[in-house]
Amino acid sequence: MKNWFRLRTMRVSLGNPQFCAVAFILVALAYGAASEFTVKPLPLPGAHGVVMLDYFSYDRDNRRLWVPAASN
Amino acid sequence: MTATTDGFGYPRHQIRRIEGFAVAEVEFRGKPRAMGPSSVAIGEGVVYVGSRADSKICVIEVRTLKLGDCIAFAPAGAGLASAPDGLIYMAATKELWATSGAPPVGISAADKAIKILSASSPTKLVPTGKIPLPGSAEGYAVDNAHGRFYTNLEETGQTIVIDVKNRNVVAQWRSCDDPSGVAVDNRRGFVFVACGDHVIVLDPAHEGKVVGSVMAGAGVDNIDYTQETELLYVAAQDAAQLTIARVDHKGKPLVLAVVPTVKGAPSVVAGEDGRAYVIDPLGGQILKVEPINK
Repeated sequence: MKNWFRLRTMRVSLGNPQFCAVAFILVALAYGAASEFTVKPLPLPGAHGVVMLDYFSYDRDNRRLWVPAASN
Repeated sequence: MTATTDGFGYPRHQIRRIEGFAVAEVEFRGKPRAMGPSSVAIGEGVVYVGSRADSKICVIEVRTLKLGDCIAFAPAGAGLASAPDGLIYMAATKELWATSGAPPVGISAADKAIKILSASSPTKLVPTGKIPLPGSAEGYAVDNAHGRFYTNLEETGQTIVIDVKNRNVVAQWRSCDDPSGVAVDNRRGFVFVACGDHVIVLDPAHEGKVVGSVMAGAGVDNIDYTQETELLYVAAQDAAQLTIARVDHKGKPLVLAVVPTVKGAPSVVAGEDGRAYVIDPLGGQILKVEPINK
């Protein structure tokens, strides 16, 4: 119980080096996870600036992404 | 202004633009905005596309990618409140279910109901009835394994459950204020509801009890889930990020990754092999997110 209390104290104490170390590890892990993904933009043909996009859907049978779109 | 059309299909990385849809211009927050094709549902050998420009639903043949017949969902002059909003194909009954209104520009449905069109003949939609709702529908998902349709009610912050075959509302659960997107785990039954900056997990086996929750950043709209990988995908437009979480057998999501996207990217659909796609209306593009090892 006492250890649990210490852990809680550590979590909320920004000046605590232990807290900073744990926070650093968590942030590093988060960035590590994000870096395991790539983000590639796929420009919509004919799009100039803002395009109205709302619902879109992936067709698993045909491996196609369907994107209804409207632009000025 | 009427422009050319804009419906797009992507066979893998080849982008095909499908022409022939009307586009109309409306003023939104003092700026002109184009309204046109805005919703899509995958049918049997066809795709159904709803348009806010002329309140029609059109059929595209998947094999040829040709635009086929269109039917009037509402009179063209009825305005955006009567235009098709979300479309979803019910494989069990061969029907297309549709909600109306234009939530992206703040216009609620004129008719608080789900309209139903028969798709027995996939290329010929026939209106067959509607299901009255006690509020404006927002977001939707279907559980084909259990024959259940889920949608949210904007006004009351509830998620309702409809039996697909008899069209009755069979349950109504309090979810959250201002719910938006819905997704469902067809195998385990969990229902995921987007709630502004987080997603909650409801368990239908326990009267819609909230069994899990995951923070995702502000500005969440439509979400998605793949039961093959048990991954939940949540895009947040204000936080400019995509959260990917694995959902355990108790319905508790564990965040696997938070991937930076762009501001204004509010909705995601899951693809295959861990891929996901996020819309970026401000950039006029789609963001493809995929694991590096793919």
